[in-house]
Amino acid sequence: MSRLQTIFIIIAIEWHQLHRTIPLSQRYWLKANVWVAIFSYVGNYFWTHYFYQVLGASYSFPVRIELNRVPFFLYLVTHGYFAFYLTASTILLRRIWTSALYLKSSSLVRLLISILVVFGFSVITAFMETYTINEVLQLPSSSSFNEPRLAPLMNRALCHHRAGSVLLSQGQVDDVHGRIGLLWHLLLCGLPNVLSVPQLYTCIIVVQACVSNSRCQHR
Amino acid sequence: MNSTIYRLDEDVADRWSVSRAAIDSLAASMIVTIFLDLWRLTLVAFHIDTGVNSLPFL
Repeated sequence: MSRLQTIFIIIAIEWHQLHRTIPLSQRYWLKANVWVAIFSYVGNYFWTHYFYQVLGASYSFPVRIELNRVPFFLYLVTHGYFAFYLTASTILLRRIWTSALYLKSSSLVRLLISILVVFGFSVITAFMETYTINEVLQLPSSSSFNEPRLAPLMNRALCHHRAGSVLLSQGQVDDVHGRIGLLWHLLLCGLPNVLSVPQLYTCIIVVQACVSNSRCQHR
Repeated sequence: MNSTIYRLDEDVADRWSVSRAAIDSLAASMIVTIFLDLWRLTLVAFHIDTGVNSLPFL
């Protein structure tokens, strides 16, 4: 066992110990992941057909395992993507809904601000989704996941997954943790090819443990 | 406006159960499904042929 793997296991146990007073069913990460899992399952199973039929999109992933004509791996990748989006939107909405400007506004202005923010974030997300899907669609259908051009996309997807998992497992996402998590996510996505997967996981667990520890001390 | 995961455990005095999170997620899924289909019907109302005459989810 490598030194990194040892550190990973020690910190994972330590992290579990920090939360041992909270029953599993009451931990935020479990509830949030249940929410995201159901939502992303429905999204893939039903809404992908909306992409296919109404928007004319198609996937050319060379895969055999599908569920309702949707590549099965997308169900798993989507969980990470949605976890990241929902975490980011939680931080964004909390920042706005607790800001002085928002609180002193009339109810109509509050409604307009909320609509603008949700619409803006949705458009940005939709654009990024389309951009990344389009990158894949431009590949020849005979391509495989080992081809260099698809590697960056898969790396990004995995980054999202890791970041989402980290963010959701920290307990309730407050501003400080959200910022640390988002910063960490950006760092990870900027360095996908520099660090190996075990190194990345170890780094994530270290940050996670530090954050959990600071939360416990804070309380 | 509070129709996102934002609400989960946001109020310290109102902690959610796992089943409540599951039901909330299913409800959010249905809201999005309804909005998606409303958008399809709106496109048709603007005489944009989507090529889809029935629910695109079935």
